[in-house]
Amino acid sequence: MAIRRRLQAWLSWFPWYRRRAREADLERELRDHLELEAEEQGAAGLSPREAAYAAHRALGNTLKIEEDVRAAWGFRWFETFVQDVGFAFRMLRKSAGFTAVAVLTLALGIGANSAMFSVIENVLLRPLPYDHPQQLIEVWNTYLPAVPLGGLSPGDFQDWRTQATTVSAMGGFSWDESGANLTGDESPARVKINYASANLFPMLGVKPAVGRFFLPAEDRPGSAPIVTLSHHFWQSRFGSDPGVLGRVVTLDGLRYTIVGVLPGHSGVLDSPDLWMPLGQYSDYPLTNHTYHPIEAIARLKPGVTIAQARAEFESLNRQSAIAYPAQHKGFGVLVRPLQNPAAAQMRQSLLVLFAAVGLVLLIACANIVNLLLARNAAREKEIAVRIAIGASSRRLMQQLLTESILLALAGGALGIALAAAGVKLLGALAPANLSAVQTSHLNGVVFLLTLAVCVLVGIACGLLPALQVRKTNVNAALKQGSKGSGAFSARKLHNLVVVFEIALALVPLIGAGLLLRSLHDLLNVSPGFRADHLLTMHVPMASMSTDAYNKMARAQRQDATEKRGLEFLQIVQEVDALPSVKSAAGIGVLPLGSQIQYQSASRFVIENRPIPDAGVRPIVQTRVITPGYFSTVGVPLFRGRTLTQEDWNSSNIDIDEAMARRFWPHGDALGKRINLCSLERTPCWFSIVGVVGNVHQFGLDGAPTYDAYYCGGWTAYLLIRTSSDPRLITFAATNVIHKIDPMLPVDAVSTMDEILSDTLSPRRFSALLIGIFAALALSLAAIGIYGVMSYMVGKRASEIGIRMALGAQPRDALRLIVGHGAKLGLCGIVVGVVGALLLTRLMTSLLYGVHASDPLTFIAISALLMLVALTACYIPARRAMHVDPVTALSYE
Amino acid sequence: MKGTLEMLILRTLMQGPAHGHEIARHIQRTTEDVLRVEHGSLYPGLHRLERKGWVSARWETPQGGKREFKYYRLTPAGKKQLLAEHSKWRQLVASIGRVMEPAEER
Repeated sequence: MAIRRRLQAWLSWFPWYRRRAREADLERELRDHLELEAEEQGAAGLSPREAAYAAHRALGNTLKIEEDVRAAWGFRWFETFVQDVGFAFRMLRKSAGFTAVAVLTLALGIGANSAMFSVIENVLLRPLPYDHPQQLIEVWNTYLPAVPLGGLSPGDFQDWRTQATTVSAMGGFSWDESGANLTGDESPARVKINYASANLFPMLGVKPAVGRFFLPAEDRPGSAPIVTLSHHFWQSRFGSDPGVLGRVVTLDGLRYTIVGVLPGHSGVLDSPDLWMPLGQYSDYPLTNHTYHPIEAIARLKPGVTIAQARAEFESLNRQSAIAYPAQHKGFGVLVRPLQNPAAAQMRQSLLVLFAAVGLVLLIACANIVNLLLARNAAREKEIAVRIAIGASSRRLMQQLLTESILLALAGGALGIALAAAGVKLLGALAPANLSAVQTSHLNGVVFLLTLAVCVLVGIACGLLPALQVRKTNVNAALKQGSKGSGAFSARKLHNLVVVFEIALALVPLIGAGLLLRSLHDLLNVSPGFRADHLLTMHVPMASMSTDAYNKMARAQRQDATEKRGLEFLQIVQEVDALPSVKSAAGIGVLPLGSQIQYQSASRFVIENRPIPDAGVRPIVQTRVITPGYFSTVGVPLFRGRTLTQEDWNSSNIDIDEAMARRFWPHGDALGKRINLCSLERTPCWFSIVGVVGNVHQFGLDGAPTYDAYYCGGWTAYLLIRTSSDPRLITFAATNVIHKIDPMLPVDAVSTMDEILSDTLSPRRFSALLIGIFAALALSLAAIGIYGVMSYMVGKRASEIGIRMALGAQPRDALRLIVGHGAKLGLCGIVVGVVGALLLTRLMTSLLYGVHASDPLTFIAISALLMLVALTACYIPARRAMHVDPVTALSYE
Repeated sequence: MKGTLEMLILRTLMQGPAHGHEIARHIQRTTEDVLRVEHGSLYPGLHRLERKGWVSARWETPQGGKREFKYYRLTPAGKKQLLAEHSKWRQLVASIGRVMEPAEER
């Protein structure tokens, strides 16, 4: 019973609930009252008719009472609301042109924002797909300043995971991906392998799609060789065959049994093809404290803060430094919440783009404000009449706000449709390495945000014009022939909005200008070699297992490596002999393509010079090449000679110019010796025989590097210079390779031009997007200025007419309007430049070659905007020129 | 004064359940027609009080009566509200009194 009553009480808040019953109830109650009153009056001696009148007099106006009672019920807001919506709807339909322009403007602004927000939501805001992701932390070693972020050594990882008390579990995986050659029934392929501790996936809460992950017993050296497949590899190589469990794959000549498949979208763990138990990671035994290959993830115990965990790992790190001073001295520790590296990489550009698109929406709003101001001015008489017959200004404002919110909602609905198309377009435009953009789509969160934005925009746009209504002077507005009373302050408002709009448009325009200049500068950067007509392919050799390697005698090892190296030389020679091939060569790490700075590099010392501390010795990128590499790729020789067949396995090296200039500024590098194994026990001294041109190893925007080239050994990348389209040689070259060794995988076939273009694709993408947004901002602002100026010309037609009647020339009218526009434009640009100076600083990390306050960009963009603003004024100004004084004055 | 009518209604219902006409009559009689309450203004007040949960309403037939009337009665929350209003009113009257007739204080 009590529940029912409560439910009814609660339901009674709803306007619709038992509405009819309530109305009948009230009517009956009032009728009772009248009857009782009439009975009493009748008893006092009045005739029934008179008694009824008296009763009515005593009670008062029944209709008003009913209204007041309904107000007491609390539904008035709803009825008013329904009324307002109906009214707004009729008004908007009546002025279809205005409505269409406003809705379209808002749709562009809101749609662009919703599209951009769905990308942000997908890339930056969505939590990682793990159990309680907020409990997960990353644990890293640091070696400042050279290595801001490094893995843990296997030994420390083992020690810390057993000793740490602030975390409930700690798992890890090898983060320097190793590769292996997969051979079998199909053509050989190169696969990426990561090693994971047995507890890693269970700790994250990731469930296998098929089969199982590793058992603790398998996470030890010497246990049965097993692998788990990643989802994408299972799909591409095994056609999602659920019967894959128990099958055997051959990797670098060893056989592994498949025990499970990972689910799709494993968050930060998506990239490798195969997973193996960390305990079987033969390169680095779990007692090793020298190398740092392990990325550790831990789960905080409930109630433990990250600060507590940080303190504990710092103390564990100090203990390691005491226990292993030789290997661990100087290492720091870094603990932070688990994050998606893809998201971190894109955060900056996405936020800049989001800011740009937000400014576009503000400009759209400014346009709407202007439109509404103009329309309300035209409706001033209507409004004045309504005030005169008793409408409160609050009620009028409410009505106008309802109108603007309705407008915004209509704009939002159309905007969502535009956003759906926009997101698809974004996905299509996004480069392949930004896959997170491609998987973005509209979802509930985006819809909700769009709705909120619509209401906000509706209120923001409607408020200023609605407040203007309060200033309506009823007397003046109703006078015959009045042009309206609020004209003066409304004009000021229009001017202000135009200034604001120009200022807002300037900011994304300058942002776009800076990004485009960066891109332009980068396109003019030479990679250091000739990229055209150059085909590259990855031909990795199968690595020998460490066990097998350790068992061999030193001489045997040398023989084996030598044999493989010569085999590659044979490949190079036979490819070289193919028709349409000009020359071929090999290199260990492809220029431009590499991401990892320490993959093939070492700290060196120079003979007969003071030896700095280990941590501050200069780093040189070491590259193994085949003879003829420089001439094939087109790297110029500056001094000395390039390496030849004679230098095979010798201690002769070529270095790049940057290195020669830095360490031998007097041009005396030739013949000098450097030790490339300065961190190891036995030195390896190399003599410089030549100086070659600088090459961009890490992308066109990468910092210059010191490079040393040597000959001797397998070079995993084959480079082929052709006389025609380099792609055409792919098949013939692959045939040559497989004739020499059918087990060699050939992958990553690509032209150097494509690689060059890929390194720029993220920049090109953000420059394109901000360019689109800036163009949108510019056109919205131009439309806004045009609208206001046309409106002003209309308003001032009679003034211009009088001026002309008094002898002004059409030129003067033109000057009047364009001068007015120029003044507004200049004000807007001054404000915009200040805003841009403040905001572009935030995008410094996205720029290349230009300063965030680059004067040329600022001046050029300001001039462009001024030009557009003046053009937008010129069209209405021309109309002003042709104002006929007679018509203009008689219209009055 | 704002809320006075509602206070008077609550006070009237303190004596027992009543329908609208009775309440109006009672207020009019006890104030000896000084407060000429327009009967109509009573009903919005009554419905407001009902919505606030200070009175409850039900259609009932009075003892010996033939027809139903909508009877209002005080709820426990309404009683509390009346006490609070009453003491507030008393303070107000007292302080107005001190301003209007300061001689008595001396």
